[in-house]
Amino acid sequence: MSEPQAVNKPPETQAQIVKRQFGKNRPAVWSLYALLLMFLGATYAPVIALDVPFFCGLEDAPSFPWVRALFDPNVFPLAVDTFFNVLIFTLPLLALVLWKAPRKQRRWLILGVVALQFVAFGVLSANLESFRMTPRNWSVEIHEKEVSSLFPPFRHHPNSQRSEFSLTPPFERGQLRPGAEEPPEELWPYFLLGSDNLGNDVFTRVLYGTRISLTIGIVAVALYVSVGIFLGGLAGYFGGWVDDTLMFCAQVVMTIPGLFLILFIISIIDKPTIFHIMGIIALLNWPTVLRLVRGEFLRQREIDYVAAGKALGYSPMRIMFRHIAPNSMAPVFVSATFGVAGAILIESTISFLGLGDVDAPSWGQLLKIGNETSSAGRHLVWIAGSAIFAIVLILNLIGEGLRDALDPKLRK
Amino acid sequence: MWAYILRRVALMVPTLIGISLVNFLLINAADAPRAGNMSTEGVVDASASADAGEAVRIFRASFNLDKPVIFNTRFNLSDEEIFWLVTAPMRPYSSIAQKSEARDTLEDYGRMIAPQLIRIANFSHQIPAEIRVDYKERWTEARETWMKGDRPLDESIPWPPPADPPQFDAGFGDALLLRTLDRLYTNAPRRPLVRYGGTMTDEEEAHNREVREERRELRRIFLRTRGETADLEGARKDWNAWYEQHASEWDYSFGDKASMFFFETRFAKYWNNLIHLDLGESFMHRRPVIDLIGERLRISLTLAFGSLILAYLLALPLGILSGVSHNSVGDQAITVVLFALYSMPVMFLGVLLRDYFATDWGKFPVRGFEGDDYANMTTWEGFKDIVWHVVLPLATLTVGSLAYYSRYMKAGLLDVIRSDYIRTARAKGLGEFVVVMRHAVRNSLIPIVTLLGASLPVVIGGSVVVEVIFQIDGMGLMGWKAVAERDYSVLLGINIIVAVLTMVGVLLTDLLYAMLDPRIRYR
Repeated sequence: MSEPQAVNKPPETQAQIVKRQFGKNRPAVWSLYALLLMFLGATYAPVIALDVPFFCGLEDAPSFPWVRALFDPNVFPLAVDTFFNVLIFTLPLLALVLWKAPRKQRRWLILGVVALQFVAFGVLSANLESFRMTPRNWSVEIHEKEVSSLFPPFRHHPNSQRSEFSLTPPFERGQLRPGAEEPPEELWPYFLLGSDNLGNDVFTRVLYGTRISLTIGIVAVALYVSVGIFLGGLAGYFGGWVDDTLMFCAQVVMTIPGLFLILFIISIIDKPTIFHIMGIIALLNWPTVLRLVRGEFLRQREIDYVAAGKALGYSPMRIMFRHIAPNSMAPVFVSATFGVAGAILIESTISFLGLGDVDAPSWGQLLKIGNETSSAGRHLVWIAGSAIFAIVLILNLIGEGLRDALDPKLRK
Repeated sequence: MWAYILRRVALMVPTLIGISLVNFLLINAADAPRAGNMSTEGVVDASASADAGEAVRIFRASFNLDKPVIFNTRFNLSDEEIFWLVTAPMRPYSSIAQKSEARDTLEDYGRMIAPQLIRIANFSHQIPAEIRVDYKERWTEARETWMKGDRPLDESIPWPPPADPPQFDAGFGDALLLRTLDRLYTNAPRRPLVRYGGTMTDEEEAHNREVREERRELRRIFLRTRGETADLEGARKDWNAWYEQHASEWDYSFGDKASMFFFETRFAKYWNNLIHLDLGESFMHRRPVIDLIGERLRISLTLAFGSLILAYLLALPLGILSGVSHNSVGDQAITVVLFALYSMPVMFLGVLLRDYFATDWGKFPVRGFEGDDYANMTTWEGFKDIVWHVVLPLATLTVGSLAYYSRYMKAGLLDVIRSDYIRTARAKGLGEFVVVMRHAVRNSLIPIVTLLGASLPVVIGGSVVVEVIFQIDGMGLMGWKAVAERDYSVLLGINIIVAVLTMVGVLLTDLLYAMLDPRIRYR
């Protein structure tokens, strides 16, 4: 039996309301687009800047060395880079699914693409050795043999270290250090945003640094948000000594000034990698999420649907994470958005202090070089600082927009 | 009121204990990298890597890492156990890791195992039956476990491993005796007390004289085991004579054992040191950490409190202005600028300010907290000098919190301004200025004060970056330098002191809050 429909349009879902409200906030929407652009730039960094040609006519080399270089441990030793390089191929698939797939299968297809990304990443990282090529200077060889080739627009590797061109100012032809051997005119490098003290192209480093920043921000936040939701759920739902213990732990972590604790932890680690940094950020921030989630749970557990769940004999875990948790996620989402900005800030602070992963081309490291190289490295300060500033600003604007959109009081 | 303060202070104690516990866990994780002075033959020559070994020993002793973590049962060590450890390097298929683990364990036992070592030295040529049996069993067991696994990378291990346990013959006896005497020489001598930056009492001086005397004597015995004319038997007799003299030292009563069980541990020693405010000595500065921190407290507190005061002084008017003229052009401009400043990374701003205002413009000092001739200045000149030095760092440190506070202030004011009592005040015919300043602002101040407590850890932590940029020798810079030098005492001390400072700050905030808001009862 069907009841007569008063309106022929179904009522708006919560997600639709939030989306509509968010859309009204222009700066937030622009920021979202900017973030998307940054993400695309980070993913397609090797298309924009790499010193390996897409194809070349060299006889003793693969015809399409660029594809092979993507998974070559000589070219990309970091796991983060491998992940994004896999993403180069899966992102178009995802776009295709979002664009063309029928609504009903969309969810499963998206999950499939995500699974494909992770499986491909796992398989490829285990077999990086088979992609290893002998390191060579493609530009010079191709120039000498005069064969056809096509390079990415910027022929730089984030860690190419052409020290004869150190500290070139931006928008200028590469400045050769006096006494260094001159390269042929066609191979003279152009540094769009100048070069750093080791002769690395700053633009390339910033581009690849986006990968590091985004990864650290997202993974660290995902880590501590899941820990925070779990522990906060326990504390809020069970109360009593569970609550007291967890809140005590949270209190202790929140009282210690973060940066000093970071100094201590880093001094213990032999050689910090970005995964250590993520762990440290997670370790310092889970209490914020715990407190948020705990508060929400305390409120929600008094509502009738929880009592109904109990009456139906559901297990506490099921009630907590299938029923209460989805209802208390709104503030967590907002806090996570600000959290990504915070995590990126902490990471760049650690790198700025020279305590981070030395192998990862992060923005903080660039800022550190600029800090140490007086006025000749001022462009580094501006570029790296602006990059950090921009991403933090963008994420804060999105967070603001999300918070306002989720707040029923502010709806227009 | 006093009951409330007392209650709050009492509540601080568990938090403080928690913080100390976190630091205890960290210092336990900070075990010294010992692999650096590992020799492939194990401890063949006690003096080969003596210096490196001694440095590690000092490090471990200074954090009590050579003691067991929670309970100490070392008074119970049997001859067999020590025998097993001493002979570890003599077994053909113990790996390097096993050898160095055995050596480290022996090293940690220190002087305590002297009686066992003396006994082993005495029966080195006639191993007692029970040790023979025990040793053979453990030998087979170890060999079986080892054969189950893959062959280790250690090339020095013969393959396949010999199946027979060692024959306890004369060769074995000699080797064992030499090893045991070497071990005695590393373990038995006491070490003189070292006091950096403090004078020693007469008692300590006397103790050190005695220790040095003993070390000289033991050195003489050690030298008898070396060279062409090595006389192992004679050395053994000398060691026995030395042991006779000191035997009462290892004669533990039940009370000794009990106190050793509970108190001769990392855990107990750590708390004992903390309670006595003994934060150890910095090997980088060769001075007690508590003194180093005391000197720098002035600098770090000036920065932290200066920044907080400045932030409030600027944030309140800005917030009020922006709240009163809500949605006007001025308000929007303030909001946009503050939002941008809120997202500004501290290090970016700091480096920019330093580069443009200090380095280029030259009107401000580039580095330091006070001028070189600060000591010769009058109070007023000195004050001006410090202010001059501190302007840029303070500006850097303040901007972030300034934006945060004023946004909060504005939101609070907007909340209050819509309430009924403000409408009442307006209806009474009060001027807008009085309504805002006397009625609205007062109430919206209260949430701002709570922010103070939450932002204290952030401000204190933020000073690390500012101190590094402007090379101000406060706690942040000292901690930062200590990381590169692995000066754990400094890091431990700073972490504890800073946490205590934060807690005191939060306590003061709570008291202020309670005083400002009459609705809060001192419960």
